[in-house]
Amino acid sequence: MLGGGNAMIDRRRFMHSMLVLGAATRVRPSTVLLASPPSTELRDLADAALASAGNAGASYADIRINRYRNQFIFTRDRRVQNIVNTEDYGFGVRVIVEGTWGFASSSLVTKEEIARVAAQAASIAKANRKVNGEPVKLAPVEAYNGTWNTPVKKNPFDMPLQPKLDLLLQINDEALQVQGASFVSAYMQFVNEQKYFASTEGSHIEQSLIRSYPGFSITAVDKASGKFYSRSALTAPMGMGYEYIESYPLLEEVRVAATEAVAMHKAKPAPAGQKTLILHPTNLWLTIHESVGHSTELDRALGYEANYAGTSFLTLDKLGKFEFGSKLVNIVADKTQENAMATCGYDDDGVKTTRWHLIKDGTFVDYQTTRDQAYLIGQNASHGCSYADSWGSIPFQRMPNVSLQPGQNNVTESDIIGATDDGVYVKGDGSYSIDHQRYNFQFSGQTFWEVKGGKIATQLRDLAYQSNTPDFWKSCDMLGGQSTYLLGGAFSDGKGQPAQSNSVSHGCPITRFARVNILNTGK
Amino acid sequence: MIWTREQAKALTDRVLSFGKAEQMLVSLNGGERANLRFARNTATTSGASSGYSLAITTSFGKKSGTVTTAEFDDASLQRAVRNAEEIARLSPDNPEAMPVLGPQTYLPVTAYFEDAASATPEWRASSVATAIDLSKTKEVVSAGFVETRASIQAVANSKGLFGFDRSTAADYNLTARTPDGSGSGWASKSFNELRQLDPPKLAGAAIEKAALSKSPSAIEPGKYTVVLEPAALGDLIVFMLFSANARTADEGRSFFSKKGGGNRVGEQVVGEKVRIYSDPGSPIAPAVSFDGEGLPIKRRVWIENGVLKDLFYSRFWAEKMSKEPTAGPGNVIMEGGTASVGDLIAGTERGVLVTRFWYIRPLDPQTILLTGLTRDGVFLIEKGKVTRPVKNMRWNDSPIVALNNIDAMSPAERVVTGEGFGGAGLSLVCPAARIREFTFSSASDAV
Repeated sequence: MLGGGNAMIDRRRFMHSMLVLGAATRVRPSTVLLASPPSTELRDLADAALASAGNAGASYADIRINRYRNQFIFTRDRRVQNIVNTEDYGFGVRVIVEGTWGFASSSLVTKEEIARVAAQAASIAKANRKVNGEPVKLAPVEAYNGTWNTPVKKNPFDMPLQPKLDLLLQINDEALQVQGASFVSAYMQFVNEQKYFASTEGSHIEQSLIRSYPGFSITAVDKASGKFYSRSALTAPMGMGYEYIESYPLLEEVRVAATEAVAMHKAKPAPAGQKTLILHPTNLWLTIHESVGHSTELDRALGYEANYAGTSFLTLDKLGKFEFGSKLVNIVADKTQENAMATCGYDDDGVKTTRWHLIKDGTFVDYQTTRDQAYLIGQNASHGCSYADSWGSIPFQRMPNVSLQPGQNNVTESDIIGATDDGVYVKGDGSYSIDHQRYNFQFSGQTFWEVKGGKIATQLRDLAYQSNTPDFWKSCDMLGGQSTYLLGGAFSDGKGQPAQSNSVSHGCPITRFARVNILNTGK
Repeated sequence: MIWTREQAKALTDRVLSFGKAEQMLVSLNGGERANLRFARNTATTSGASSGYSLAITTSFGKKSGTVTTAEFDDASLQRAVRNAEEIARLSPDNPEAMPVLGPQTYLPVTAYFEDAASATPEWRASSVATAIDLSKTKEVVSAGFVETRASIQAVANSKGLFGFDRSTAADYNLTARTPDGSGSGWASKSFNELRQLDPPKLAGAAIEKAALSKSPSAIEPGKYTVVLEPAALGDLIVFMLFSANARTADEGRSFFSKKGGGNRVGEQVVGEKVRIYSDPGSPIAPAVSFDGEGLPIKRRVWIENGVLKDLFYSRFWAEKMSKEPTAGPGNVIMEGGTASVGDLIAGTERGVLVTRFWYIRPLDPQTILLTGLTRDGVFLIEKGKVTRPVKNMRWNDSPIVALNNIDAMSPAERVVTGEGFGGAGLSLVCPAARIREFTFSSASDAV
């Protein structure tokens, strides 16, 4: 219903909107009880699809038979508000007939329905043949018979409810014990994608992806002044199991967060003008997502997203030569990175996942690609970036994990602060907005600090930074080392029509940028 | 064919018969949708999807649990119901839990139209051919999307409530760009009824705007009078209504909070010309008249003559505050004026004409300060005339300020906004408006 959110749906806003507009029961999500059919049965179903598509004239066909499980637990002000287990199951068949894509899908997983839907996909391709001027060409791929599972230590769907509820209620309690903290919400979300893929290339692939996300938000209201400030958790969703929840110091962080929310009322208003900007990974991940992740998508550069998410300033003529950032800037795309959200064994084209540079020593060197687009830039293999967010969605190019590499030397947070005479330090992600070619952006955060004479001086409030992608990355003048490197990420990277969500992580160290325009948003 | 009332009733009855909890609520949603995308003046991907999802909420006293499933054989349904009951038993009491509603009466609406439900792949392909052919003739490069869908929504509970309705939507939108990448135009519409959709007109509008917006020059950011086309104004209205929650306001954490406690219902919050309401029976934007709990969606006035008349009340908060609960509306309607867009331009000494906005996000909830950008056609107005295309800009402003500064409006029309609001799920009706002192904060090189 609120899927109009463009390049990225704010998870907090989305939840808030569901509450405001009562949409919770309209969301189509997904139980925790049924396992998918065994491999032999899946192969049988797949064969029915591929045979039906072949009979209908398809030169290529694939089928995905997928089950999606979610658990969502939401608490507020020492109450358990909602516990929802969702499950969704269905299949989608994609075909190429006479060089034209066709796709159809259904939530009724029977052999008969699969044959019908495969034929429907072929008839859709035929109907579109006359409006297709660019016959589809697929980059070659090996046939794989493989399985891949997120290497979780504790499967959150096997965990009992009680410890999850206990922890969330403890977070509520810790927050509300801080004087001045008025309201708290705390939640956990768990996702499991069980995916089966088969294609006429000869592949049969089974994967189970698991992701976990704890979080909270605290609001401090000052009734006398009518002012209020909120502070959200610095947690990120991760491609991990329940061990992430157990290892993250949530109770420690909630006390700090509640104290910072209250202190915001007395914090110094943000300065305006050019400043040295130090970004913590909990903030910078989102700036990387918007300014680098989206600008290096090949489908955007080619114009496939011109009507929705937009195009990219990184046009094809810039490939291999455009100075994107300072020499310190090395950014890699990686669908194999441990604990990251977009990590999997194979993409939805059946391509084995890999790691490659997008920006090398400051220069733009490569795009994110899929099988049907690699040839358009003269490449003969896909980087494996195809993904569909549902059995009912069409796979297309989606963002892999895109991360800024840490510096070679073990530069620490105190090294960077110590080397900064006059600047601001931002932690946590806040408001975010970027234009449709990925030049002009503006980001806020969760907490802001003034840095003076090599020390953190005081807490600031109402701050945003505004810049232009190449200017910003060229101003990168100090990189933290590996010890400062963290992963951030989101479930809700939006693109495509109909809009689809993609889960993605972005890693980075604490990083410094020179002369960035700072705004005071409270005026 | 999408499910009938009888099929939906048979399923919800069957699920309810499996329940052992004190109370049970089931909600069935789904249907069929099919689409075709195009880009680079050629068809790209297309698809059709048929799917239904059932949400089951069971309660024991103040404990509840929800499970959704898409598998409707008896064994799957019974497992889902048992799972929801297990969650409910494990859940602590929620003092805010509300009992399920008794049987309700719903406003009859016609939101379903056979022509949209039965649209064929051939119709979608031909509507795309229209845009591609015209784009080639006019030497622009177009990308776009056409989708038709038919949906059902059903709700039933253990107290005998049952609601069922159907709706359709037909969407068409495209972006035309000049080959040199210096001009871009956009058009987007959504209607419940297919015959109201006019692909050639939309294609023509986007293509014309691409040509007009070619080779823009920059103007200095700052405060300008703006003429916002309906698609731009619509986003400001939707983002303002995101903040219109009664509980958040009563708790002191919204623009609509009253200093010292309570909310601002009854206060003048925006200009006197502003009237915003929801009405599922609107002929131009008909919408299903009950929500996921089976609460009737009624006509509600949010703002009248600039005065805040109502906020969104959940069932719990409504009971606590002795108010009527608000079902999530299926449409938002802002009344317009009598000026044409040409009149709005003609009455502007110096200003900026804006086609649409892009990537709007909240910056400060205390003032509903938002940020966003312009996109796909921005023009300078001088002495009542559009004189030249200008480059896109970022703006930082609040819909509250903008709606206080409206001085003229066009008649309202069905709208899809740049952020994509206005299609199935939340229909929008909105005018174009001339607004004083809108704040552009920085320049963007994006086209």
